[in-house]
Amino acid sequence: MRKLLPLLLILVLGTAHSQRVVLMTHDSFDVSRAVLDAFTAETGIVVELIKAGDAGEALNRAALTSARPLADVLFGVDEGLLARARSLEIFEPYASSLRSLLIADLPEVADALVTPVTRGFVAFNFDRAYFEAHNLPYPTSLADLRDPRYGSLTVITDPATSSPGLSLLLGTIGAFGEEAAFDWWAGIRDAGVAVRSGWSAAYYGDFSRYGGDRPIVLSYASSPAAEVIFSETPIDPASPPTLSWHCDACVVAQVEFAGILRGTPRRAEAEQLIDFLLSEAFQADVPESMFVYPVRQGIVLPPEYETFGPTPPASAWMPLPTNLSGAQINTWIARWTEVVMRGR
Amino acid sequence: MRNPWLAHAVGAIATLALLLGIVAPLAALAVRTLEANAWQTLLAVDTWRVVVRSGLQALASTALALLLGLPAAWALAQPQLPLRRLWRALFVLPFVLPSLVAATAVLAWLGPRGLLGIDLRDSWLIIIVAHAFYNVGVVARIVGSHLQAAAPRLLEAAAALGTSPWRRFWRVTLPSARPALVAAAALVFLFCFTSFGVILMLAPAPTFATLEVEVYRRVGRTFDLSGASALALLQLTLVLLIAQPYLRAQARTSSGLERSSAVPRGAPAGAALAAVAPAAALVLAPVGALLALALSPPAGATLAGAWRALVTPSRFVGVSDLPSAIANSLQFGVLGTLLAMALGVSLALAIRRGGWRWLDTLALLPWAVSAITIGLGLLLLAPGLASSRWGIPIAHGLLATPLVVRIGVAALASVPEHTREAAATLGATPWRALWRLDLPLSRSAWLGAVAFAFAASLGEFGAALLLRRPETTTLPVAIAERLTRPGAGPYAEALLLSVILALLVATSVLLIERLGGSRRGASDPF
Repeated sequence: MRKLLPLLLILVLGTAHSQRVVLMTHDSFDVSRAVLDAFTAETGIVVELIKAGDAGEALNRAALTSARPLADVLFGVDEGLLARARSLEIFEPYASSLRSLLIADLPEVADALVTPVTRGFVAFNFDRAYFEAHNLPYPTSLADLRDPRYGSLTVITDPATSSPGLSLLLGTIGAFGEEAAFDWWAGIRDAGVAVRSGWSAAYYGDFSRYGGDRPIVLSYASSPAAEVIFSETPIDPASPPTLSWHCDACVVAQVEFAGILRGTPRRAEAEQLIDFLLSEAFQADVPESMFVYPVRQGIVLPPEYETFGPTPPASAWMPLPTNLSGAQINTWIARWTEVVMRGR
Repeated sequence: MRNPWLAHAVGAIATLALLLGIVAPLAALAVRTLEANAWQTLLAVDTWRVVVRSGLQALASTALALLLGLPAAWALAQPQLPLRRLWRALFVLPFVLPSLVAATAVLAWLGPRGLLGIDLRDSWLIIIVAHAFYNVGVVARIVGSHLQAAAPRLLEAAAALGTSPWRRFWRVTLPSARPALVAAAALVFLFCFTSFGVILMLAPAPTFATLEVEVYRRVGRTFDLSGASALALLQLTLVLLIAQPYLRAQARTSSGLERSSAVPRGAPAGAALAAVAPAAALVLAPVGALLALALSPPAGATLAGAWRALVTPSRFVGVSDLPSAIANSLQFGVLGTLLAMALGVSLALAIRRGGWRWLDTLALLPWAVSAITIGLGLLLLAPGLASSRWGIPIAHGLLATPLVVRIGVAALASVPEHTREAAATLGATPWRALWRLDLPLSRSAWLGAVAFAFAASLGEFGAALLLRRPETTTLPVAIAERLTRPGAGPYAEALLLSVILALLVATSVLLIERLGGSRRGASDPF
């Protein structure tokens, strides 16, 4: 016991002295162990991760516990959720000095309430082998999906239950206007598009690359690069298994933000954590850990991205509707459900 | 028990635990979120459409489960049935598989590249077939145990009187099995009515939604927590009403059973095998399809590569390797089982020995409530616990408690009244009677309960309930982690993990059979 005592003391004091910060995030959050450990080694701050469901559930849970916050920082709020987060008043503004190093075309955030950390692109992917085997030309615009020849080969996800689905819905409304957008949705419904509840069900269930019967799937611009990274056998750059579709106005940028949760007792550590999320090390890590793109200038993408998953050109982006609000999004989802799922 | 103070005491503690773990979170969420619009949700035509549609769906699912399960039940009661233990184990497997794995298996069978070559997704048929897959074993085991136990003497008498086999079946076997049949049907209906994961994965269109799926939509996307709470309370009320015939029927099946030492003359082995075949095929087809899918990884992945990736620690925080996931699953399984046993034995004692009949309904609560709303409520009441490592075994333990209670109530009923009276007359204290009499006499049933609770914990996803940490990843969660990444590697790993999990669960289930023996299905939780 006498030998153990100093050890115990060190343990107790050690834990008391080490600083920590709690990051609440969605289930898809990831980071290289080495990158996270380097942050701890440099700052002495241990990062605890809490995964709280998908992005919507994570926001819900942060809001429900706002009186006694479980975490200091919440990551994973996208533009669609930002309006809700704002009205829930769960964040404290923080203007990181690193914001000046961010790329130019990110959405404006009033009062620096949250900080952009990653950017993904929701995009359709093609199964190259299917198009070649069937001698089928690729579609050239979203309007082509109203043609049953393509519509019946397409699988998307439900905006009511999936984040890429909601992004596409908001993107079409932003790009075409509400009425024209719902015309398009009715058109692809009639053309035989399939709808799944989530990304995995569509990608691993319907996509012809994984044995389904549909060679056009709603996924991300980075998915073809991920296919190459996760392949055991090297892939010839001339014939990647899948392609991301970057036609004019057919990609939706999905910026994810991090914010400091209101009332945190560890404000200083939380600020350091946000700065870490903008650091070169973390930003260079996100393409391979979360399959999204960095928001900091001058970050070199991994070689697989340069060849198979480049950033979609600005001409391919659909603008999101202005003045997004939670109530407005609910109305659109309800209308979408009526039009696409109930065929009214 | 003349002086059942022990039953009252432990019953009170366990009841308190149930109230704290299940009722309090739901109440906390309701108090926090219910607004005036809750009434609109409850009175909305769409809400009742969901109720009616899920009701019809559950009826159809129950009918199919009975159609295939009853012949299997009859076969399980035939002494000449070959490989009986194997069939009984097989029928428990789907019930304890996580819905993610079960749905993947059903998809491998009836999905886009299913073995049958037809894609049944987004149809009532696939939901009904999947539910029958889950529940055919519940029917076979509940009704089978009862047929085996209750019919022999009557059948012998009927046979001696020269009644034809067909007439014996209609006039003796079926009527004697009626309470078991009602119990099985009510329980299967309850599970199908509250189905969640299977529906979301196989048929996500709003047409097919159950109340639980509606709760999920409101919580995750439209942020209508008030409506979600209202729907959760509606579901709770409806399920507790539906459970009443089940509990009444089960009370009749587990009391006053006669035992025959004579081995009855059963049907020939061939007939028994033929009767068990359809149900066995329904269970084996998806499991076999899953195995076939996992053994033929897509281009760019190999089984050996997937295995290597699973056993090597990942360089990413968010991807767990197999050894740590198994270690977590086993640890949470053991702790969860300890809690479930403590609660379950206490509740069963209070119900059987303390005469707390109403507790029968309360003990079903973990199966009746909406997991999503409990999770949110828990977050309100005990945020520290809900996000800690200890929250997981507690949740698993609570969810497995109804299993143990069902086994325990039946097991305690099987201890003869006069034996206990004799013990009391000889001066045995209640503790002593419990340790030296009640538990040893129904030992195999309790061991079976342990294995059942453990298997259920291994398969428990619990994602809806709790917050996760990378260091608490269990096997089902490790599967889900991989299914969020695009690529042949993660996909092959997820399938391989599903097979490993199914094997682990199957092993525990076979253990149930070994420990529980083949006596009157003493280890059946239903």
